[in-house]
This record gives sequence, C-alpha cells and structure tokens, in this order.
Amino acid sequence: MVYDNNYQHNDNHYQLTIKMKKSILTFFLFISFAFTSHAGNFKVIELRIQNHQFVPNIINLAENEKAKLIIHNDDETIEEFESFDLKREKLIPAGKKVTVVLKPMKPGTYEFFGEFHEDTAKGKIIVK
Amino acid sequence: MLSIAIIIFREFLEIAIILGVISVALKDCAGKNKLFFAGACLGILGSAMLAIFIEQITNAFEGMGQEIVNSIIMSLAIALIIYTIIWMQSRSRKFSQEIKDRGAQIAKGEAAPKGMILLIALTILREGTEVVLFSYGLLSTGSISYGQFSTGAMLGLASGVVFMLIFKTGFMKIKTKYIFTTTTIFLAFVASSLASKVAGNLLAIGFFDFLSIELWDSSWLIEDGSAFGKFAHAIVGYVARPAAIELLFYLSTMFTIYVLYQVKKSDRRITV
Repeated sequence: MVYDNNYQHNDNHYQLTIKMKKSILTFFLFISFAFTSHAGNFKVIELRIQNHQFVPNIINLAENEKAKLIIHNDDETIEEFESFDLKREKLIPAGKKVTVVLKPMKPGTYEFFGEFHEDTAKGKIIVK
Repeated sequence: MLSIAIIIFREFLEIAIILGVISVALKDCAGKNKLFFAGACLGILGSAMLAIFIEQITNAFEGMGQEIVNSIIMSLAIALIIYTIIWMQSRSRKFSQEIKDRGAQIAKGEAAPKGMILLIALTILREGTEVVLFSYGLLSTGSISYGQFSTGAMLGLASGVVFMLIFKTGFMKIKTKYIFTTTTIFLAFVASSLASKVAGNLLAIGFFDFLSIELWDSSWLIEDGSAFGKFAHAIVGYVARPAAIELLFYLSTMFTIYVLYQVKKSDRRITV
C-alpha cells in the first residue's frame, strides 16, 4: 500500500482541530454547569472588615448547612481573607465586597484571618 | 516599616524554594542570569498589571474571577514545570555523555529554554500581586513614608534572596550524579501541589461537588497553621484535610510526570 505522506499529515491536522473544538465545547459546557450548580438555599452571612477587624468575628453554623459569606471591606486598604481550615484565600479591595461560598462542613471550629493584618483581623466559624 | 519587610519576606519565602530549584535546573546554562532577570521583571510587571485590575478580575465570572485567574496561572506553571523536567532529562544525559568524551570540550554554554522566563514570571505573579496591593494600600493611605517603605521592602527582599541563595547553595552540594534527579523530584512535588491547589480553586467555585469530601484529617500529626505545617505545605503541598479531588489532581500530576520521565529516560534520542 502506498501512503501519500502529505495526505496523512493533513488528516492528522484535521483530526486535531476537531478534537480541539470538542474539548473547548466540553470546557464551556462544564463552566455553565458549574454556575448552575450554585442554585439552592444558602444562608447569607454578612461579614465586615472595620479597622482591620472582622465584624462579627464569630459565626455560628449548623452541620452541613450551606452558607456564603459576603465580606465587605469598609477599610481604606485592601485585605485578604485567608483560612487554612477552609482552604480559601480571597483579596478584597478597599470599599468592595466579595462572596466566599462555603461548602457543607462537619462540626468543629474553622479559623480565618486577614493576611495583611493578622494581629487584629481574626475570626472563627463554629459549626455545631 | 517592619510590616512591609515581613510581608515581602513571607511571600518571597513561598516562591524562594521554587526559584532556587529552577536555578539549579538551569545550572551552567548560558545567559542564566539574564533569563532570571527577565523573568523577574516580567513577573513584577505582571503583578502590577493584575493589581491594577484587581477589581475587574474579582467581579469577573460572577465573582469568581480571582479563583479562575489563579487557576489559569497555576495550570500554565504546571505545564512549564513538566516541560522543564523533560528538558532536564536530556541535559542529564548530555552531562554524563560529556564526562565520558574526555577529548571533547564540555559545552557549558548550552542555552536555557526561553520558556523559563515565563515560568519564573508566573511563579512571582501569584505572590507578587498581593505584595503590590498591600504596598499600594500602605502608601496610598500615608500610613508609611516612601522612605520607610523602600527600606522595609529592600530589607524583606534581601532577606528572601539570602534565604534562596542559602537553599540553592545547599542544594548544589548534592553530587552531580544525583542533582538532576533530586531537582526533578522537587519539581514534581511543586507541580503536584499546584495541581491540588487548582483543584481547590475549582471546588471553591462549585465544580466537582461530588468529590469535595475530605478524605482524612491529619491535624493531630501536622497542623496546617504550624511552622512545620507551612514548611511541609511549601515543600510537598501538605494539607491536613485534603478533598478527594485535590488528592486526585495531585496523584494524577505525579503519575503523569513519572510516566513522562520514564519515557524520556529510555528514549535513545538526545534532543528534546
């Protein structure tokens, strides 16, 4: 059998393009799925950063309760909400707010802090 | 002044190990210093850009912009690290080949791949953005003078560089025979940790709900917040409570690197 090398090359190139298109499409489907999966009842907790402190600095949640923190930075400088226990890190520009969605959690105490003002910005989430 | 020094030092520490290992991987390459300088400049520039657009990034993708941008940066870094590992394999063989060819001149001037500039920049980007934002906050509110800031920044930076050089010098003491293997192992851990962080980010924005369960809790052994915990996190990406998807990404990356490494190692051809 005689293979025309050029033909094979074009064939592979054609296949690759189809593959690329399929994976891009899958990626976008995945993303839209991710956004829709946010539907559901979330307990909304408003957290404020004032004078480099979290207000309130203790949050109570029930076991496996779905919640989201809306963190308002009332200070003039940026802060970073960080927690090893929650494995989250998020920058909050001055005067802005961000949302941190919490997954259902087992009972325990989860500490968080403001990375740029660790000595004063501290808080915890207590799950019962 | 001390606060900026401490913040810069801390953020630098997180990337000092990675930069040190890259430096070892590029051992004896021509233009290595220029490459590092270029990477550093690009990283700092990129950090400034991200800092300027932090609000737009934060609000993008329904508030998940930070997580998505972070994931993209880390994924690119993972790809480049894997490339570096493969590239090092061919170096490792050239080195031992040259030692055998006693008559031939050892080519110490091998060019470092330009992709390293991007890898260095990406490594700096993540922490660099935080530093830029923090610095801007300090300076714009006038809580610190420019003089105090510069002194503190240079102090933090110098301390970080000293740490990196100490780490690198210690690393270089490893015998030539084993140095590339050790570097490969280190890089494999870095890539895998980044992969599990990407998984963590994806979890945070709602992907993979079904694999978010935490497989174990080893805080009784090593706590996340402890000094050793942070050290373990920097070196091998340790977390006390890994989610299933995080572990999956970690192990898959490790496995992929292992397979590619073995394939490359047994490959008769020397060119990458």
